[in-house]
Amino acid sequence: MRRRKFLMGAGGICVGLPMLRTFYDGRDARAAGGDNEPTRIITMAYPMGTHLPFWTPDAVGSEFNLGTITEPLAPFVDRCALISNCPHSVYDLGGGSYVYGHPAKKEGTLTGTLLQSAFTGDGSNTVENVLPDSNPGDEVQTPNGPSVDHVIGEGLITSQHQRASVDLGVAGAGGPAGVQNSSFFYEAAANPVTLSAHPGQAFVSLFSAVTPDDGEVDEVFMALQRRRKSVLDAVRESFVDLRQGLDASDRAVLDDHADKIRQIELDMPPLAACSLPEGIPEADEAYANMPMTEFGDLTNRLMAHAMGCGIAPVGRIEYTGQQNPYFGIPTVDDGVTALGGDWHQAVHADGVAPDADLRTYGFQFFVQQFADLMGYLDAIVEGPDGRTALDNSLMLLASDYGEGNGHASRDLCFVVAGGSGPGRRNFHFDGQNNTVNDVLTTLIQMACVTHKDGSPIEEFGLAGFGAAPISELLV
Amino acid sequence: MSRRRTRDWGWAWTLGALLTVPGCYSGHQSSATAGAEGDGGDADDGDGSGDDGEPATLECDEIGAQSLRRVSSDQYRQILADLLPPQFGEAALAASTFPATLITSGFSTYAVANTVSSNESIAMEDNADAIAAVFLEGIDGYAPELVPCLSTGFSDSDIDGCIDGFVSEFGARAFRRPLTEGETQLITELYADITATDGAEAGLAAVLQFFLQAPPLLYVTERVGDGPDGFTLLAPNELAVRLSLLFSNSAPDAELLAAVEEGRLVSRDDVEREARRMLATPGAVRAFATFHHEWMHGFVLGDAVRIHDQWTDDSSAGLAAELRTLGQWIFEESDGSFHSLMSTTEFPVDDRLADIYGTGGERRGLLMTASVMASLAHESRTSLIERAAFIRANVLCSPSPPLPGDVDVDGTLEDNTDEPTARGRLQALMTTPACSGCHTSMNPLGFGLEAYDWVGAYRTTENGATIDTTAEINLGTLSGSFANAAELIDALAATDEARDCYATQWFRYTMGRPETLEDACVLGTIKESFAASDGDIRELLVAIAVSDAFMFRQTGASE
Repeated sequence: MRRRKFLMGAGGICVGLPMLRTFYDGRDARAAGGDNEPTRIITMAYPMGTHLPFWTPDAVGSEFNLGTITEPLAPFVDRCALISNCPHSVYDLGGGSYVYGHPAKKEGTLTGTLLQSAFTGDGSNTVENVLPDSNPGDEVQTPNGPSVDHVIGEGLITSQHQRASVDLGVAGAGGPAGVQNSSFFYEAAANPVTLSAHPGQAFVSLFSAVTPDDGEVDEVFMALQRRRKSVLDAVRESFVDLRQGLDASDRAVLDDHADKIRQIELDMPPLAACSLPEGIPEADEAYANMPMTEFGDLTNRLMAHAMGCGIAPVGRIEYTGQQNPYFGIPTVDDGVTALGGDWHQAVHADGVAPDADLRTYGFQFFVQQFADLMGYLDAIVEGPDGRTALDNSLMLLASDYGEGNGHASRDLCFVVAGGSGPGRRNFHFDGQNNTVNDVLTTLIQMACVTHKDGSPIEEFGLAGFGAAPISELLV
Repeated sequence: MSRRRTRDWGWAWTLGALLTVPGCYSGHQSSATAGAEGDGGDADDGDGSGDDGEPATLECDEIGAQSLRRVSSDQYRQILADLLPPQFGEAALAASTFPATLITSGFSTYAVANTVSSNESIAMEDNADAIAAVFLEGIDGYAPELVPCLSTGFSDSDIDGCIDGFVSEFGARAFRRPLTEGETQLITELYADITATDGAEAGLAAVLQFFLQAPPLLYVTERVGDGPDGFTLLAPNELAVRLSLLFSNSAPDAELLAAVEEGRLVSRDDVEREARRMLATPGAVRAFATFHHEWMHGFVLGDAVRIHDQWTDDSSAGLAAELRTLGQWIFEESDGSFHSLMSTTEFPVDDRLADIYGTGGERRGLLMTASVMASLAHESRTSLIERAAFIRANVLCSPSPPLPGDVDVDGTLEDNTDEPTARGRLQALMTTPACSGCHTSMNPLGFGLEAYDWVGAYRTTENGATIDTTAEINLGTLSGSFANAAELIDALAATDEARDCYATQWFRYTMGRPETLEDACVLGTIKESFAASDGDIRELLVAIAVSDAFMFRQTGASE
């Protein structure tokens, strides 16, 4: 593993982070700048939904009992808000196949919009451009806008961060899956986030810049950094020359890439003596037949330490195995095997009782992973007042379905967690009179991310759809 | 589809003046094929083209829009393999971490498969950094190899003396065109800056590191131009790049560059000449290997897991590699025809797949190979619907219509879960009114292929029951009763639809995009040529190369 160190102030190398171009409707996002604001957003997404009677708390408001599936949140319920039964109404604009079935669901969960193929006119992400009854089809497509985590991240990133995001995937079928395109997370329309689903490789990539011990200047390393920065300067300048004489859409592609080069051009400050996660195997063989209980734990620890080291303001974990993930939970795995099918089939099969253990504990698994991640973050102290990484985070647990057995998206549920910002905690909210776009807009306000002029971002997702923050979820 | 004549014209930096020459392009088929299109014109010059080396003119009213593309990860690696000298090149490619192109639809050449996310831009920078580090570690041996001006035991001042020539020569090959003044200045300033603080060796490494991630290497850029009626003939160097990416998956070779330099890449004759020349070079096998691997979704097998006695490390590696190997065989060993591709019984079998193929079965062509059967399957069972839908969409270019908006997928189908075979379990889809409209025409395409399991091994039973491989098909010219998949595939291979779809797939692969309505005229010409050549795949590629869509682009709005 190559060691890299980044020192502040030596040789005039350290420069501030250049202004980032936003991809969100041309508005610049920034953090509002107050105390007790989240410094990061961490989102965990998983497929196939849940079983609502066992997910939903028994009452709305602040006095409630968790369901069987959400029981793992108990140690942290004072820092959680549960949102149940929320329809993703934007799908109604797309026609029948947008409401039912799998296509477009993952893509729409965190972006609040439809697939690009559902739009006409100039293709912009507005209600006016939506084609009625467009039908998503079966081919893999991309949504017409970024996911909410990306927008929040644009407002939270600072010159102290090494990169824009930490993006990890948990492969379902046992064994590392290398690099994969996300189905839930997008930096822009047609630009899915790429996930690393190999913990060993992710460890090397994320932590090669961490120096947990001394702070001596390494001249060889400094020379490397000078070369990197100068080369990146030249690469970015060469985009200017290249775009001459191209048409507008081609120039936009180059401009987008040049912006990303700009993002890399950081003189990294020295990372604090942050701890590295231990016991992350490097070899592919270590992951052969690894169950998700173990794979997910490695991923959680990588994420927690990466966040604790301040590597990025955005963390994403996606469970990518929809068809037949290997849970590592005998009740679930043996139950699925006994059915002769796979997890996806077990969730949808009419012959399986809705409250069957194999479903309940399969669905609970994802909530448990979220709770475990909260635990790892809560173990990282981030300030003299004892605030932890969990306290300073805004977290979101989301899935593309509410009731997994059905194929409709009229009852999505979310867990919002973390200890900072104006979001209400220790609270259960019934979202049946709101929309998923309202939830996503509320999340942006919970993150204290505003327009550049300080005005609040009032609508996220499909523009003109009418999303608005949910006041009951904000204090 | 309509055709019209356009005025010939030239581009300023090559010919210096507009030409107004009446006449039409009288055809570009080989001498074995039928003759001219258009309404008369210039005298035939003996090769059937009649364009006398004059710049090509449009034959169609319109062509589809072409957006900016980045080279795929395969193309990047091949470009590096051809750009760098052998020893350093081998080490560089071993260290390369260039992000892999992830195919989500279509081919690896599609623009959408090669967008640049934040993580990918970091990976590209890491890639260049890693290769530069390798160069520096072995600079004593690598530098004289990379920079011919340097000899063993070179000094810093030797590098200073050679750098301008290196930037100019290497840069022209890396960028696939001569460097502009601005680019030359940018790079020499980079060299000077780094050399001033860290020495000439670091400066040379920085220049290399720049080239490895420079946008002119990464992107296939084509100028807007100012052609009449909204279309521009590509500049010669732009044509050279398109030809080289199609026929070698790499940058233009020396002969192609010479043709550009000498003004011999302006007419359809010129393009045809280079296309045929390149088809005879070893590099052309790459296009065949890559295209067939991707067309048949061989990329699925890279990360796939199959629960099966015959799924071993060896066999899975063999399956993942099979389609590329067969693409190569089609190019090098067969008669290169569509019919052979689809119906041959002579495909070589990889040793690692001997056990799978040893299970028997009557196979035909590419569709019934073990790798295709394995890629169109689930982890522990076949996927009849997926295979049927694949044939419709990818082999007949007639995808199933989308799910109707009024279909309630939560509705209960007749419970056939106790049926031992997939055909039986899915029978309800062919009898339930809301589903039967699509599934009666689609499902039978997969019945015969059920005899090949989820690793492509032959079987006659499923769960103890005999697999019924008979099928009644009613899809245009593919109609009739078929006893098994081999009969069906033979009939499929003989249809115009399948042949035309194959031409369309190559068009998509070449252009890096799906066809649009504006491509109807161009595609029609290409399909006619392919049919007239009796399905000769090489002739198809030549037809694509000399087509309007390949040689022209829409004139967009520039700054």
